[in-house]
Amino acid sequence: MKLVIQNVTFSYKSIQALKDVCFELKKGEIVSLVGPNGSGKTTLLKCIDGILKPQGGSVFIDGKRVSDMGLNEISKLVGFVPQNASSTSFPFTVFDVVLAGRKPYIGWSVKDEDVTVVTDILNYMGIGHLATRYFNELSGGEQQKVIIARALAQLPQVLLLDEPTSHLDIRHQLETLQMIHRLCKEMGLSVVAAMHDLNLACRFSDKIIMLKDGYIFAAGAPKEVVTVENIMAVFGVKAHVSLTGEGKPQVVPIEPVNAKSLQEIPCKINYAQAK
Amino acid sequence: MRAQCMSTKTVEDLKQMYRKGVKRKVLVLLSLFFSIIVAALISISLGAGSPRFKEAVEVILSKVFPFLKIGSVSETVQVIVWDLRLPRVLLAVVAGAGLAASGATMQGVLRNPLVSSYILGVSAAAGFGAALATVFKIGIIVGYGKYLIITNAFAFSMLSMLMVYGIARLRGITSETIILAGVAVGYLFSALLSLIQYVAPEHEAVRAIVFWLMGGLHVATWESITVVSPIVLLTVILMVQQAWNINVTCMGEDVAMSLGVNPKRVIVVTMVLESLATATVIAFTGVIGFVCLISPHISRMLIGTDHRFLIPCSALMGGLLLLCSDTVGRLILMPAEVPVGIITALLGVPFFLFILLSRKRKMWQ
Amino acid sequence: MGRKSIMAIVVVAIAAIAIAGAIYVLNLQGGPSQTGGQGVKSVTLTDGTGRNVTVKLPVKKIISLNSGITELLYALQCGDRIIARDRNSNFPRAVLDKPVVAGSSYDPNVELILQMSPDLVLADNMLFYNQEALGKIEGAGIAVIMENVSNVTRIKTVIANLGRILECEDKANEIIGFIEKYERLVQERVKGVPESGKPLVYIEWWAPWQSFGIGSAGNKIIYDAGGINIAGEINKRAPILSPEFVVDKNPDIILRMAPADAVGNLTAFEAVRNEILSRPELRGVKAVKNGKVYVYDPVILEGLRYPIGLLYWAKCFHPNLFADINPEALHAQLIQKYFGGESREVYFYPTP
Repeated sequence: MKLVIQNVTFSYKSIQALKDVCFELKKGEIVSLVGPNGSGKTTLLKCIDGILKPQGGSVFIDGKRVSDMGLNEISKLVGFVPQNASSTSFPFTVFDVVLAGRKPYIGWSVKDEDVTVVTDILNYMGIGHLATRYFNELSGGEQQKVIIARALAQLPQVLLLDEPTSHLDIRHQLETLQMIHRLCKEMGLSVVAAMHDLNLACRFSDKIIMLKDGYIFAAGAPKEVVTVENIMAVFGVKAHVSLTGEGKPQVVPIEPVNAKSLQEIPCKINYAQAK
Repeated sequence: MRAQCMSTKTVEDLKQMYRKGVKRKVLVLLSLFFSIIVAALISISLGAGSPRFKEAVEVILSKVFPFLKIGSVSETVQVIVWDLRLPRVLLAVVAGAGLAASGATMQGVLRNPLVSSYILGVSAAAGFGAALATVFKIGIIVGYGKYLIITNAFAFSMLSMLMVYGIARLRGITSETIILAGVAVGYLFSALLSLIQYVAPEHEAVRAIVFWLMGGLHVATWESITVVSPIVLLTVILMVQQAWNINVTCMGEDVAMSLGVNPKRVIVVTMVLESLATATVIAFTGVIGFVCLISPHISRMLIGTDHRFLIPCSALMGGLLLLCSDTVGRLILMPAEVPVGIITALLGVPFFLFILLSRKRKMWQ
Repeated sequence: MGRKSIMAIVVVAIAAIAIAGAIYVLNLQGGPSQTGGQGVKSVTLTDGTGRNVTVKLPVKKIISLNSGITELLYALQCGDRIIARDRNSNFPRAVLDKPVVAGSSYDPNVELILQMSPDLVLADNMLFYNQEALGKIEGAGIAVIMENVSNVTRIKTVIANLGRILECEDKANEIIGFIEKYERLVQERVKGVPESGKPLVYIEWWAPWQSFGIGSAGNKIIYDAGGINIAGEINKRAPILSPEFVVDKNPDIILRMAPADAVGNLTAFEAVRNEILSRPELRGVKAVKNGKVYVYDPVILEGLRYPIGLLYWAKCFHPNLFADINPEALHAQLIQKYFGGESREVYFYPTP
């Protein structure tokens, strides 16, 4: 087993974000975490990467316990792609950003090997032409690719992605996920991705884990987990689920269930008169 | 995926590009270094007194190589060049370097381009310490003299850093907490300084404080250089050594941790280094403003945000800027000297605005 | 650049510092040559900051960094020995020909001063706050004496000291005699006045409500002239009074220092006086009702002119006791005698 999550529990002060989460991941497998906002997806990813320390339970990578490893050691095994690509206003070039992914291996000087890794990855991902551009001048899609490249430059065995497609248009969504899928199968990466789009998650993952209020509601193959009942129970949404040609579920949401705003409270604003 | 390969660049092309970039950056650093040397030679040849370039060089050579017995220069010329001008030139470079490097480091670590090396309330605290010494002769050592002001200013600067650190420990060591704590502590010492100015029994002491606050390099002696230089040199070298940690912290807290760097530790380490550098410099020179703010910005435009190059570049740029400003300040209203802090503001700000407005690249959204 | 390069830099840096340190130490052994030992007369005295200063005689080249001191030097007929001045020293007119080497005592141009090799530098207390400049000047073997000519308790000592240093003790004694004569005169006449006969005085100097308290020259002169300073119990040299306090005390006389831009200008003096007469808070105060508001030029309280100030105020407070004294004429005589007669348009308004 490449990645083992065992009874992980985490609380932010008094709010319990994760309750007894368990799952396993093989080498070359892609698992998507789905669930409503606040269900603990990002928290779980951060616990796997050692950014947050769970109060209970453990994370094992290749049999080694994450809490026993230093941040540097973890960063050689796990790459993390955060949700917000650019949290800084400083003008880093794309090359700088991806080169930062080599930090776990760099003492101070940049060796030839580091430059090779970066240029190889830039080329592989098809963003070599952006190398000297400034990161904060790129489009959302391009930025996303750059930070994935950064995570890859760490040469990790596990790749964590936090909502990698939420800021992208449909073309870039597909491109990004196809690339990750390819990377996973070609390079043998294990991927854990927090996804907000159920359809994309189903299409590109081997396994789906559905979280509700911090615990695992359902886990397994996409068509077993993404069902009408589960969607109703976890998201509170009435939906229609059909299967595509490849046997992957396709979700068409119909309407939210028990939505107070639509049923009980009459709207007193007269939009025609309001100026 | 295939559609994205519009680039005709191969891996080798990319590598070449990178190496050329590095060479260019090193070139920038070298040219700044030589500019400083040229500026220093010019500065040493100018002044209210009579010695010019030839005499200056004679004096320097005769002091450094006494056995060469270079041509005779009068006592007065010797004193002017060796004891007055040379220490001043050296102090300008060292002080400018220390302040600018600290500014660059703090901007990176706190992820905020508006931060200066005084963000931890260091300047207000130093002013308060100096005022305490000047007005009430109270300080951490006994006996009035320039040492009292210097040690007081330094001690209170470090105190302010500790206070900011203490507050951050309680609320969490993040960029926001540190900046706010620094502002609060700074205001506290500012208020106390104003109080001292108000209750000061001697009018002259108040005037003296005002002068101190303006900052000046007339205090340069060989003594002060031998104290300030090693500390600035050491702290700047250590800051450069932290460059990768700063780079990564600059990109985001989570990103930093995922790359194996604990941003809180980086913040604490750099805070100590920059406080040490800044406090040492301003304990002697008073509060010289602007260098710590504009040098990093100009350097960033020249050499990029990789702190391995940015910090040395800021240091060199700061040294050059301060040296030129001080030289102008010495000459412009001869025989009076305009405090260097005023010149850096008057020269540096329009220059900075010009660069800012003429560039299309936005520094912040 | 790798770990090795950093080590190299550190080594070079340490070497550079070591060299700098060595140079510095070498410097300590050098230093300005001390010419003369025997056969050179010298005078040791204590200056206004309490330091002991030794001055080698004769003193032929003086740099003066204070306008009051410059005046004193001319009064002692030693104005020709002045080789340079500060920007504020502009009286008497002869001194304007001398080069300027400082804005004020606080920021002397050390380079120029060393260049001119003076025997003595005279400055006011502000130089004491610039320890670096002081150290550099003294380090070059130049004697530095700091005095405040507005300190009236010390002014006679200062003049006597200058007399010794400049070897013009007879002239010094003459001036001291002049000062003492009028000090004694005022003291005698005011001696018998009971407390109830002394007017309450509010003195304002450069900012509204800023007065003189214990330890200040202004306070002492008011007392010596037979007045009572309403701020005389306040233990602060230049306290800012609350308007209520002033109104409550109801002073009989108000003295107002003329600001720098009004000096020597009668119209400006009138304007300053009118401002006080029309100040709303002072409306009901005796001094304002009786028109006993006087504007004075601060120069009459300093240096050798302080007896003039003393006499003006004494005449203000007790006109009947000093009816025979004409401070204006006396002042004109003094200026004529010591400076060649360049009086300003006005020093005290209105005439008491």
